[in-house]
Amino acid sequence: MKEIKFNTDFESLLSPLESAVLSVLWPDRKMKVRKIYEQLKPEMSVALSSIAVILDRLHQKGIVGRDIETGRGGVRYIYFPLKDRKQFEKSIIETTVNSLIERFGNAAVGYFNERFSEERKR
Amino acid sequence: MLCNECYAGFFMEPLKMSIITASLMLAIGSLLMVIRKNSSSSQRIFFTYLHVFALVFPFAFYFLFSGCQAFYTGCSKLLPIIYLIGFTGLLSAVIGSLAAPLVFLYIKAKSSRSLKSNDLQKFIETESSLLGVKTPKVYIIDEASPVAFSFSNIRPVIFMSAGLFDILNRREIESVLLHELMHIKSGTSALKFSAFLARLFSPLASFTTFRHELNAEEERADNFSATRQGTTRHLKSAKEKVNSFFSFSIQLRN
Repeated sequence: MKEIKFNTDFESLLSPLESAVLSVLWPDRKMKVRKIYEQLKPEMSVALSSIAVILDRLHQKGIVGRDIETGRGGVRYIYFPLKDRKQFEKSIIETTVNSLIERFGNAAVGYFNERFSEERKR
Repeated sequence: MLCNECYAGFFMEPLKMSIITASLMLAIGSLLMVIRKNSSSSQRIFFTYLHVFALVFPFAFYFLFSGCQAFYTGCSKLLPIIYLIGFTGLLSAVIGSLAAPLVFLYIKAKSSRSLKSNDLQKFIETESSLLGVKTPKVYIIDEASPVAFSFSNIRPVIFMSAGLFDILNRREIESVLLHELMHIKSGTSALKFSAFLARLFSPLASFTTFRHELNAEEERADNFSATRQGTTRHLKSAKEKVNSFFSFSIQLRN
């Protein structure tokens, strides 16, 4: 079976840079902005400030969480994923299905039933 | 005496008209002092308040002495309501404008954490004493956007966002702190606040944006930071990183 690369999976839902940042944070890592930047820097041309913007956006979307760590030189945000990859995929499917049912009502439910029974027959 | 005569009579009295003219002249004169290039920050703040006072004074004077007696309301049922709304509004505006920065500071400080870095705290103490200002308390705002601002109240305070520390290195953070210390020394926050007050109360003040004065303050703070560090490199790179953060944010939003 062909392995699906993460970066192409979610590109329609997340920007390429958001996907790249998430791929560094998974599996369940706690990382500072600078550390994520250092990991991505050899792979792509990106600024530290852009990584900070992306992490803040992911935080606002509820995809990553953050804590403040106090050190000698001041404070730093520590970012971590709020959901693992599977949970994240599930939540996307759930949101998509819910929005389809909300928009198309019985037509969407009927279509899903049809598809599920076809799948079962196989 | 009829009411209308009473009110119109106000403008016929040379003494009252002289007081009003003098007050308006003072308002114009003080505004000219505010926008004068050579004025210092403290002079600008003083003349801004004088300008607002001199501009509001004729109205208060007319309200008090326009009738046959102070707060003369016998002619109309509407007048007491106008006086009440007018004075309540004015009082609320004055108290509100004066209390607003204090409330803002209180809310900001309450939702922030104080800086616990010994190294940076020592740096601030040393630089404050060299500059001759009271050591400010540094608060960290839980915000990813890289921002820093200061306020010189009873005790000077500097607010810095956690996001600022994420993208700036140690020397860049120090350059920002030096910049803010100079603002505290110059009383820039008070100048900004008085500029806001002037625009709020004075239509004449809207002719000046205070941009020149505030730009001069920024330049002075930048120069101080660069002089203390012996280079403009750190402040320049700090500004570049901050600008890059905001321009990328805007780019993503569009």
